Amino acid sequence: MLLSVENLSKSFGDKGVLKSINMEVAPGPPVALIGPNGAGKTTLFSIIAGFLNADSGKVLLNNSKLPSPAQFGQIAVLPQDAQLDPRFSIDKQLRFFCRLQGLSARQSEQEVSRVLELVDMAAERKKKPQQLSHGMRKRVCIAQALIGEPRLVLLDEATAGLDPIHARSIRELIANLAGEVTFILSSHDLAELERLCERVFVFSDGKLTHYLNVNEASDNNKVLSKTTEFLTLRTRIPLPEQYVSELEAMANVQTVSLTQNREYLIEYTKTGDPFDISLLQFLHGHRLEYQQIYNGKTLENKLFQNEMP
Amino acid sequence: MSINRALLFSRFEFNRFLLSKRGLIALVCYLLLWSFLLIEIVSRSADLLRSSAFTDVIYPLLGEAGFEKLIEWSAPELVFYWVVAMLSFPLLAVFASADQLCSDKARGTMRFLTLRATRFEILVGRFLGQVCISACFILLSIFAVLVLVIYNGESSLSASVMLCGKVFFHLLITVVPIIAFMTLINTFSTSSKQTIVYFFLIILLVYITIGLIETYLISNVGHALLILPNVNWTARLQLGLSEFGTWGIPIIQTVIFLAFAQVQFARSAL
Repeated sequence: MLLSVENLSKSFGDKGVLKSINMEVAPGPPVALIGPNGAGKTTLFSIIAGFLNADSGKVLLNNSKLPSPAQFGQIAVLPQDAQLDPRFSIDKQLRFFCRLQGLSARQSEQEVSRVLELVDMAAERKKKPQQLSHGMRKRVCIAQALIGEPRLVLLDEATAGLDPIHARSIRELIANLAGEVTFILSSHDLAELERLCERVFVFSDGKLTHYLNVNEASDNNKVLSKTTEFLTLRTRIPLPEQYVSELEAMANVQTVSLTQNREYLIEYTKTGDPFDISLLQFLHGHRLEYQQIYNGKTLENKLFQNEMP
Repeated sequence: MSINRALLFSRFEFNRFLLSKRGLIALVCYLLLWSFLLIEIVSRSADLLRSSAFTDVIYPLLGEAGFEKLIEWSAPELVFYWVVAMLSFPLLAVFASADQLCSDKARGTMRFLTLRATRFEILVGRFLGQVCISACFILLSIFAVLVLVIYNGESSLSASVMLCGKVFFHLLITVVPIIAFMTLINTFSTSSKQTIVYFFLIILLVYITIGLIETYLISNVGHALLILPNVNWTARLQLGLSEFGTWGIPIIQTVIFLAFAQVQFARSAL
């Protein structure tokens, strides 16, 4: 196992921020940590990274307890709100990080070029952090997390504050590196996590409440038969009630529920006939425009199905 | 502990101070100040010390005040340099070493460092870097005063060089525990200004508390002042300390301050 968290607890004063967390992450596709503000995600990141000491429990990386000098370079982190020293150029600081990780002066020079190119910041390497925009500084901080050959990279709100183009390039970067590095991402952007992550740990009030696999269509709260499937339909305008009724009356449809404005979750029985084709024919026949048909439940619906209307 | 990483930190700390704009301004101010002190005060005072009319009156008084070891020095310039340096370098060390860890902690930069080095390596590296900065400042001024001694040409060169070496080590051992004490304060302060305020506040409070205890409760608790750096400053100025007092106490103080700093730093959240 790449990362094991065993009975981890942390309190600030009398407030329990993490309560006996147990989780395991095997090497592989990116992992998401999801939860509302104050759920304990950043505290968990901080303890794994060694910024905070846990009250009890332990964190193991490749079966070795963290933090440990032997693991320097194996684990990399984009800490939330951390800034580089404003007195030195990003080039000088990243080269210093490389040297600390055991690279020679020449290797450091090449490594800094490599990681800055990955985040499209090579042209700014001689600038000091305060000469860069917030988004640029964030990209440099992501670059420092990619120095060397880390096995595990923790990114806390990696794309928050980035413009859409660079947020997309960071997502592409994570997707491209996902074969070599295991990423653990924390974000409030569920669409982003859905695109990137297969495995999702859900936190609430300091507890790990459940684990989801994005690619599994199963419903956590119901015992479903193997033939029950879901489609999520997003339309351009809200469907009139009569069309919703007609949808419900279609062959194999079990239920149609409105999950949010213009979004319908269709539960149907899988048979030999492809249901998605039938749905498209239905929409075309009634001249109803759709924005998106999503195979299964969206991550958002999986997480918040109990709050659905 | 990786010696290599600790040395990388000390080198970076040295550069951080001396090669930054703030450090360069400090260095220029320092050079200007010492130029003034050497030319206007040390040089003129040395002339005065060489006149027999003055020495016949003042030497017995200095001897009475415990400065007889200084009177024996062959270069009078160095006597005045020693007094000015003993006043200025402890203060310089306080101000120069006020930001060893605190701003990096407050800014979050420390998080990038602890992913790549142990907290002990960071602490020791930064401390050594500050010692190097102070050593560099002391060396610069000693070199300048040596030039002045040679220029005046009334003392033997070899004796002056030997004396300068002795003065250098005495000044260095004076500032080292102060820097270690500043390292300790850095582990719980959040800015360099706060560190400086804490330093003077702690010194003042400890002196007042021990003074009150000695006056009203228990006599002979003056040794408790050894928890502070540079506590026997006057005796050090007179060169009146034993070998243990001169070298042993500052080294023990330094080790203890750094040990406490490490304990506090290791358990603090970043």
